[in-house]
Amino acid sequence: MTMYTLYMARADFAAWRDNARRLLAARVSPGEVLWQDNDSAGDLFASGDTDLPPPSETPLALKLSRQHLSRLECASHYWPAHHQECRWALLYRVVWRLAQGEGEALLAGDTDGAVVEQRVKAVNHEVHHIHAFLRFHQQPVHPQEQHAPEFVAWFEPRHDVLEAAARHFIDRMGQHRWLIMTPEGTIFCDGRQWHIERPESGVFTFQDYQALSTMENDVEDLWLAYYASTFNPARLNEKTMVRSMPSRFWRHMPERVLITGLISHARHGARRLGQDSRLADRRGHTITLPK
Amino acid sequence: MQLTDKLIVLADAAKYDASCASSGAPKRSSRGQKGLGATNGNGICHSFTPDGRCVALLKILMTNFCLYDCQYCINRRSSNVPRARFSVDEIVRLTLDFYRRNLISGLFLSSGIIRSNDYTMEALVRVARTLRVEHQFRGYIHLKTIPDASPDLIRQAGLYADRLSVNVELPTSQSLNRLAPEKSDTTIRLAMSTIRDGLDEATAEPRAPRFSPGGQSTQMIVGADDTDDHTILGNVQSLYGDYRLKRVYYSAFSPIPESPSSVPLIAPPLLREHRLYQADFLIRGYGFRANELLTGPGNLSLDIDPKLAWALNHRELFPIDLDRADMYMIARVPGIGITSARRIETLRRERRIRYTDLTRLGCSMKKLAPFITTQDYRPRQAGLERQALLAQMQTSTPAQMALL
Repeated sequence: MTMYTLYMARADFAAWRDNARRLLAARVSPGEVLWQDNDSAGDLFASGDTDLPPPSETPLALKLSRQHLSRLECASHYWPAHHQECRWALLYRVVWRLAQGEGEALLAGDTDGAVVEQRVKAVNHEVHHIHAFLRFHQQPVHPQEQHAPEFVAWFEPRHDVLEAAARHFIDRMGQHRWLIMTPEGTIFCDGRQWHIERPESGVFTFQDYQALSTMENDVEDLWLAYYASTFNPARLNEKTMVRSMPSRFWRHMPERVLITGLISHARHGARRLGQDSRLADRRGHTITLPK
Repeated sequence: MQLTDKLIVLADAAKYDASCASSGAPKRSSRGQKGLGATNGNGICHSFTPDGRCVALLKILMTNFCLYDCQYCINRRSSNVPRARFSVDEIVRLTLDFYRRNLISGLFLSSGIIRSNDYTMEALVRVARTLRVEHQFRGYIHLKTIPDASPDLIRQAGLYADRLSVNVELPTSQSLNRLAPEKSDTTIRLAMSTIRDGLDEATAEPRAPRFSPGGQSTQMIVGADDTDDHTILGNVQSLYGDYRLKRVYYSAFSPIPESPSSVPLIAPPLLREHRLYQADFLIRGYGFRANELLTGPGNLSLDIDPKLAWALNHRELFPIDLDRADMYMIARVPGIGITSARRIETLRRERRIRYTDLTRLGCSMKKLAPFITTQDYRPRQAGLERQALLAQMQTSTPAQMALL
């Protein structure tokens, strides 16, 4: 049996699709292909053929609905942990099974379908996280610097969500110029178009980001005032907070400095009332009805 | 007064409104255009405070000066709280500044009643209009409607807001009379019908002016009076039917400073609130009727969720065969949600359902186990009576005693 080894760029679904099409046409079963990308460790005994075989006389072909295709693409944005299966191999096995007529291969109740489903869910969840927890900081930009970003942000996603973030923030930010930096790449938008750049080698670090950004304070202070005040100590429920806003995101959110203080203050009696205790000591006044 | 001080006072005054949804708005984008903001129907929770509630919108009052004396409200006129009022520009500035930094998805604006109902409502509409027209803000706007304001102002509000809401405040009109003497059940319901009529017109006539595309919602306070869940759910069911409500929010009553003797000074009943949300969801999404969930007067049980309670009361309907049962019935099995029920239906067109499929679908196995059969599984507990099964289902983790 020939083994074929395919080298994949980190985020290239189109290339995988191309390869998968040719592998199906040549009737190469999933067991005969070794997919290699940055995520998977090299195969110790790799001696595989990198040239794909010619189409077989009875080629397999598969027409996928747009919905199924976008599911596969979404699953390909999942960065597996070390013990997890390479994404391209999983996807190829799924399309191989579909091409054999096993319609269940993409359903959540199936063994492979369940993994695809779990990955799609994890990717979508991470997309949601970057939409929600990313924080822009305004930069002092000289009016003559027409290309410098006005807003910059740093974010550390677990999966490849750069494109989803780009599409989202270009809708929100109007004509502002902004830059999002992540370890695996940056998104820059000039107010009309976005552009993703991935580092040639290695990753960007938070220090790279700090080198190009300045922290601002005014709006952040207002935000902290709001955050503490909108918190209702009588309803203290830190478990739900941590479940909905995992602590790995706190590091780059301004409100991180308040969270533990608010919790312990509530535990030590502030939860008797719903009111922000900063207001309890201040003079208030009642209102008399006009005659 | 400094802007920061005002923000502290007026955010504190507004937080008793539970709603923070930023969903249901039409698709809008500012891509390459003047102005700011986008909506796409999905809500975004930008942060969570240690009370477990999300921060999606800048939730503030325009002012907490108020002529009314609602007993449960921290801003009632007899309450000794610091008072403040935002100018239109201050609200606009806060909203846009927070929005640009991705701290919020929009504004939720409410107000105490000052001078007159119309005066207050007009001021709220002015904020929304300034944001939308002058600053071309396309983010989410939720306006709280003043019930006694003129229908004309409510219509104007619907032009700029993504969601309008009028609070029913308390579960029954008797409680409202007792605790909020200036408010009336009749005018609250009139305002809700004005909004419903606006929604109806906007859907019936495609070229009609925009009207609150995210629909309307309402809130009731739970635990400030002694109404039971049976009455609450019955009233809620008719509210959903009568006013095309998107949501009813339940707000467990939080103790307030210098509490009047007419309202309790106890910790907010959070678990009861949670059970009401669960029951509400079953009514909205699963076709349950209120009187199925609670057959007689009383409260929902706190130790098990309403769906499980219902299934335990209907042992004669279970176990059901997942290969044959209606989807509607599958969704009624505790531990199986609507999504899983749909997936089971798709999967069984390909092949028969096996017990392990349910694990992969992410169903709650412990809950569903006694209520289903598959080709390779039959519940051991099939013959158990309700009480015996209940005892088995209850988790008996000892709870830490608390001082408060």
